[in-house]
Amino acid sequence: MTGVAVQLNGLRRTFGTVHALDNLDLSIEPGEFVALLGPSGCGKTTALRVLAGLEDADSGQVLVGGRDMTALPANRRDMGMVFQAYSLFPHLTALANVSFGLSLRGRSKNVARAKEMLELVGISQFADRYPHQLSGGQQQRVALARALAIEPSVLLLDEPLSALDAKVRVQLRDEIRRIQTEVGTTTLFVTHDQEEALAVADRVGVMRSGKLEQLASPADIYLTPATPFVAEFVGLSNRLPGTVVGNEVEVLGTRLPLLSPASSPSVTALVRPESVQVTPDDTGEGRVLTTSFLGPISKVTVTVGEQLVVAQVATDRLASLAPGTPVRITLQPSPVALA
Amino acid sequence: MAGVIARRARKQRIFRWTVLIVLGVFFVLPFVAMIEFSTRDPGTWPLLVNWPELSERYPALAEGITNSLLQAALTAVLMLVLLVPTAVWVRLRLPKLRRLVEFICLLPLTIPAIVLVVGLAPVYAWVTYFLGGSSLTLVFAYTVLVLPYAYRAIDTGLSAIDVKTLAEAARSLGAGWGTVMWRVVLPNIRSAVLSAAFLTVALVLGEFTIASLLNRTNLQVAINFLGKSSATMSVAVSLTALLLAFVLLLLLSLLGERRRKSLKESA
Repeated sequence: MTGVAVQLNGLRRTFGTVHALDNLDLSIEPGEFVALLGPSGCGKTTALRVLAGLEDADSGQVLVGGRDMTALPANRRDMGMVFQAYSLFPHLTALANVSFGLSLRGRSKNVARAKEMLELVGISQFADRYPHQLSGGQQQRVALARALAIEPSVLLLDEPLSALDAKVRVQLRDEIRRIQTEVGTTTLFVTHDQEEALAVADRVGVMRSGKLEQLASPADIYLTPATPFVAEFVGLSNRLPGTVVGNEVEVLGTRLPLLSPASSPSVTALVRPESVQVTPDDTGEGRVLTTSFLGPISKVTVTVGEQLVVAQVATDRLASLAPGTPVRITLQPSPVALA
Repeated sequence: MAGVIARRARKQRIFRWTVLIVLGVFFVLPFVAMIEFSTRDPGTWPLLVNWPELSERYPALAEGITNSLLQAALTAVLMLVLLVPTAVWVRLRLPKLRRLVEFICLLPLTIPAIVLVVGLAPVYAWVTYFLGGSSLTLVFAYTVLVLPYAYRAIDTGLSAIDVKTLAEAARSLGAGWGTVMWRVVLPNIRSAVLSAAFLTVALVLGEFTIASLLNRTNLQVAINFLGKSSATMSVAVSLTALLLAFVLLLLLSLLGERRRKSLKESA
């Protein structure tokens, strides 16, 4: 099965005075996995709900496989959806939940297909259980199976992992990617968790106030953010004062290439913690303030004069960086965005 | 110290039992009296279960019973057909109207039946004109009368499930609104619907004021009428109606118990 292309053209939607969607354009390639990422209230869920037909846009167009779906009700759009809240029908078993959509289509071999789907999501042994007998992660797996069973043209995932605990979340996230690759359905995934978006998607769209700030591969989003908002929202950034010299910016004594031209000579550069190197040095002007252990990588906060700088270091170096240690700070010359 | 506590506990126990016995006597005594009175004539109870003979000897009573049963069934159906989709729709699409709808549904509770009848009389002049004077036309008035109880029951049932998400999930799977109602919402509020129906039946079977003042016949009107000619029979029928309502309410609380238990399991 191959996916179909999805296109959102100039979608607008206002709730009172809030522009949930402000002339949003988004196009998804057939079979592509796109994640919409953004803070709460940025319109990402509204975009997904408009695509699903659960919300009407004030203006704009929804095209799926070249067909105009804008006026079609949700039940005729042929889209599978997994919701943030647990959405399994409480009175039906896992198997009956999965075959619900199939039975509406009057297909034969419903049960066989439903069982196949439960197998795909790895919980065929719980086919006869009711939702309240399943854990949150298992329920979302059944919901995924139910959405995929109808062979939808588009799979919509509305923060399906946000109610789960951390370990299950990572597991299911990877599982979703595996299954999506296997079935090849065009997928739109909405999340506010940047790690989640970067880990699973082919392309990530960062949204802000109803608009798409950048739509690019996870690596591009992370390494060459198009706007300060993207740079700040995706990954943690240090905000360091700098002086512009030609098409470079001098920050803490190091010249860094600029991602976009600066408008004024004194600027604030957004420097990622992994670009900051910290070396113990008795003549250095920095002092280690705090350290936090995070597994193989740890975080060190250094004060340089009035400025706080966060750096990432390999945990085995933590011993030489006790709080109070004088350190020297150097920056890797990777391109930076300006705030 | 221990003695004081023991004495206080004994005092409380005595007080509790006294209250219980006094209340028990207060409630049970009328029943005992009714049973005693209705069994004075040994023919009364056997006649009550012999429908052909009953309808021959007390045609008005038989008519009252049939009318009341039909009214109860029709009111329950009409109430469900009107209320369930409305309550679901308000939850899904017009959540701001919830308070207003609740207020309107509770209104009949605050208006005395006699006032209601004064208002209903001119309306029923038209109802009689269009639909005739059948006692079944009371179903419209009764549907309004049971709204407070039925609405509460159904609203509680809907609160227990996430109607919005369930409906959206079903819609995205290809279900039309009819299917959403019939196959997703209703099965999940089944006990709430049953509660609403039982309350409706109990209420309609006990209704007297409106039927009497609008010159219609139902069970209570017939019992009242019968009381003037055959006291034992009227008391026996009253007792049966009471027992029926009692059984219905018992079923209702059993249903509630089961729902609480299944909720506990799922928690």
